[in-house]
Amino acid sequence: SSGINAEWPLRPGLIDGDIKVTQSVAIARYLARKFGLVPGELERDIVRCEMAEQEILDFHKAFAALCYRPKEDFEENKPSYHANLDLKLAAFDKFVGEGPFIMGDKLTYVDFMVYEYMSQVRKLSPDNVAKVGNVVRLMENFEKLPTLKKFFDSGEHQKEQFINAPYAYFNGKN
Amino acid sequence: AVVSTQSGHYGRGDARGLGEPSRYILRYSETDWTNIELELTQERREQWMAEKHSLGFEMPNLPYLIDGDIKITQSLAIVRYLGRKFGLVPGENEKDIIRCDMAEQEIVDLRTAFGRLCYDPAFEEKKAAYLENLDKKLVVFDKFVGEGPFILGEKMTYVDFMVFEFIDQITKLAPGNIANAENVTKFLDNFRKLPALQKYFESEEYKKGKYINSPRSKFPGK
Repeated sequence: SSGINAEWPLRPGLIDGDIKVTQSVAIARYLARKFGLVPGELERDIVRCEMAEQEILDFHKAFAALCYRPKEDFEENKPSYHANLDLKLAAFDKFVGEGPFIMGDKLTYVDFMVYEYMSQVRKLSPDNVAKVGNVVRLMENFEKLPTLKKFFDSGEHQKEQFINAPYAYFNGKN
Repeated sequence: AVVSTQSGHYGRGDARGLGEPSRYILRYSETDWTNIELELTQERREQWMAEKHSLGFEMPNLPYLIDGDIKITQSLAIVRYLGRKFGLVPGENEKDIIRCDMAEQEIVDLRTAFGRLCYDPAFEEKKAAYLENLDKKLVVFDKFVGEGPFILGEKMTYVDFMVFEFIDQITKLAPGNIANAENVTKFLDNFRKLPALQKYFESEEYKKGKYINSPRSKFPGK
């Protein structure tokens, strides 16, 4: 596809007036600035936010890397994936802390990333995620956000959807 | 004093890995900093595994950066922090910020694909397909880079250090493919001429050469 962006024929893409953005992280950060879902000026806060952003992306990359393996490799690698996942979740859970969100009271774009990517990880590994109370609580807080309540109440997010491409060994619908 | 580390790899601690762009920023800034090389001999590795949870990092990892009481892990968080510290940032203009972020992420994608190949047991079998895909990506990226001299034209930012280092790494594997990308090649050549980096490029450390990936990978790059 020639895509929405002449510079980069990539998906996903966002068009906002004459602003065109590709790369999911660039899009998320753009929308964050647009809607004030940003950590603010304190260096300590920016660092925390960016570390969270990168950590959740690591979770997602490891998850996707497993899911796209052919069946034999998937089954063979699943135990070590889970062992590593537990270690990473333990550290991340401690990092998340009391919440309610990553930056405490202030909702930022990384909460949206944490919610979505951790939901995906949870689809494959519900028992592992259930063990980390701070992460679970953050996700519940997210689902209670007033402007998202309508979406979550509708049950649409529980509809069966593909997480990964249909041809992935674990695509979220199988 | 800012402390950095090499990405540790079992066997040798001097791999460039994902942390090298940050080390280039530190060299460029001519600030006082300490580079901690973790020779990951078995005992040093065991030492790291034992000590990593007591260094004050919320999510211990390599590479890390310590700057006073700021402690950072995740190579991208580190490089962006150093960008802010030394003014190597896109500024307030929304289009500049977007361009910078897109370049950053594209380089992350390119480096991830390169890393995946380098550690793949089926490296030889997959190399051709990787190079074919790389060529397609380079056509687009080359157009994006444009005239330069930097990603944001006259303004140098932290992404220039990412572009330089990661394309330099990939050049080790695919010199001909990179050479076909005119703007990228010109970008690399200009970057190598930066006055503030000459001291490093003339140093014994640089001339000795470094591993790009672990010596146990399929493409260590040294």
